[in-house]
Amino acid sequence: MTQPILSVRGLNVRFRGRGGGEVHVVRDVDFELAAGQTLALVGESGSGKSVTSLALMRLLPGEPRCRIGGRVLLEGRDLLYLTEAGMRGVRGNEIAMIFQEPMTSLNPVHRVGEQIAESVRFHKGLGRRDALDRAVELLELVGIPDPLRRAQAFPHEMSGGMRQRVMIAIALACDPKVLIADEPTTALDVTIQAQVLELLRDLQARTGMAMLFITHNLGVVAEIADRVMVMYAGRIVEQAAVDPLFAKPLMPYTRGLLGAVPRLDIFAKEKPPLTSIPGAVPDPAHPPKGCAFNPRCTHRQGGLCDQRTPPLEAAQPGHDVRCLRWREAMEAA
Amino acid sequence: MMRYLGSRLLQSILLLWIVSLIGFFVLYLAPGGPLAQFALTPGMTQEQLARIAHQMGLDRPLPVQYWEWLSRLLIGDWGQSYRDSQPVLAIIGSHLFATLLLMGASTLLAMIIGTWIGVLGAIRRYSIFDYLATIGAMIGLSIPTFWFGLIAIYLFSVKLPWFPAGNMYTVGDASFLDYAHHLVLPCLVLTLVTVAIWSRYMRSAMLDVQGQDFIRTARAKGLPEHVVLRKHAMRNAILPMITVAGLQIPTILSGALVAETVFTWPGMGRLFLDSLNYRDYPVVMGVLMFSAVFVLLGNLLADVLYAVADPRIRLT
Repeated sequence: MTQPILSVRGLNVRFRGRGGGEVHVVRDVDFELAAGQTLALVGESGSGKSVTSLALMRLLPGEPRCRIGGRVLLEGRDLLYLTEAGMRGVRGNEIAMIFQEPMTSLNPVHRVGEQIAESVRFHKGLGRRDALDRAVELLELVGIPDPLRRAQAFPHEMSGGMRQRVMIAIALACDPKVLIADEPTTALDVTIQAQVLELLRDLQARTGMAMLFITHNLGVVAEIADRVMVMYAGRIVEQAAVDPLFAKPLMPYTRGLLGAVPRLDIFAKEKPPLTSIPGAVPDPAHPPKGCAFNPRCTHRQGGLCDQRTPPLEAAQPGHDVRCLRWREAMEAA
Repeated sequence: MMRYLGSRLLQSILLLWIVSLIGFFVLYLAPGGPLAQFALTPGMTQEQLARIAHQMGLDRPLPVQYWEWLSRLLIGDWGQSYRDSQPVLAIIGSHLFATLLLMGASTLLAMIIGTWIGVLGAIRRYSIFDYLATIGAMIGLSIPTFWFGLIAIYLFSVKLPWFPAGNMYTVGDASFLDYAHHLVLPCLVLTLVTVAIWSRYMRSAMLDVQGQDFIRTARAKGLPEHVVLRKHAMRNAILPMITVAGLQIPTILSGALVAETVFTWPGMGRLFLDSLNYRDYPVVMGVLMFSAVFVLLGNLLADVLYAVADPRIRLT
């Protein structure tokens, strides 16, 4: 792999509750992200995906309510040690972010052109006029027709897909090196989803930015990602390049996720049954003993999985898995 | 927009008519009536009372009296005070300035202070400042105005002779400083209550906005915190406050009954109370109609301002 732009080492996030107890929601997350690469972060709601991304941007509430540990290196600089002012210079400039809800992520009382332009003004020191010109340019870049007129529109005058394009324009305003996309297509219609994914892929090819793509939609992962990282209960449980992961998932949780994806196979005589994973993500305040997934796992072995916490092991070069019984899965596959 | 204003105006006229109807008839249902004060005069006979009633037009059927009053009102003749035969409009005019001065000053002050207390309380939620502000607001809301007014007079004008206990100016000295000196205590009392209300509303509006996704977007852009706060959070939090301000407008003109009475401030509130005591019905009705007009205007103004401030709202 080429020199990574973003390198995360031993990231830990702990929240302190009102009662004083600590909840450990992200545990020892490591990953690297190179220019032009897309890493998908997959998992159910509550697995720690969004918290991980917000921790990278340092957008979580400050101490003492939330403690972040580990290292987040952006081209060698540790973001966790930057001053707040220094971090502001990174946000929206070197690392940008788009969010899940385009309907509520834009400020309803400001024109979209202004919402794009303000970022450019702050980071690039452009004047009002130039920044607005840049905003129109960006609206054109993200495929909004009649950008000059649309820059004057308010968010409520646009559709969900258009608003997400505006969010992308805001994120791209300062040519970031890393784009974090937190479920950017979840709230959109399927046809619009495809357009937005297409747009993101196209923009990435043009700018060479690295992308951290957070989603729970494995169809989207197959579409856009180079590598996949599966998270469960705050931990990475499996990571690999897209093809081996889809072809040979080693962690029962990943298999469960894949089994839960509906297939568009109308010619199949017998459609494979959709499976679901029984139970729910464990309460991070009371994680189960042993492997965090063991109470829901169909391959659990009593006396082993509920006793020992599995380490993240390399099953193959570039394919890591956190399961005590991955060797058996490997043989079966 | 014009159509909207037109229909609102029609509604307002209808409402004003209903207010006048209720006001007029309820007033005449009240015991006593304008003749009561003459009845106490020694040596007053029934015939004399009847003659006075006839002179004042009080012996005619009530609907006729109402029609007479209303039709005169419409052409700008609001009648004459029973007390001193002054035209009602002139009396209202002479009390308006005092009320405008007192209410304008205290409302402006309260909005500025209240906004900042509310915003700071929301930013530093559950901090010591927030707790103190909450307790302070509860105290401000629970203390009756007359009691707080009397305490203020007792402390700052009886025990410590810093401020005058009442009136708007010293006879013979009507300088700006003299007005300001007289304004301090009543303004303080009125401001306290309005600050309490305003800061509570502002705090909850701010808390509401701070949890919104677009605030996170603004932070993710790397904007400085004061820009996030002012341009993104406060700009949105101020929207619901427009409604609160709209409700405040009529009190600016109709005055504060209790505070004006305690501080013998010659404003509209005291005029209303005095006129009621004297059964000076033309003045009572005049003040009532005047206040009603401003309640309606205040609401209309709030709606228009809301549409100006919030692009999502269109007046149709």
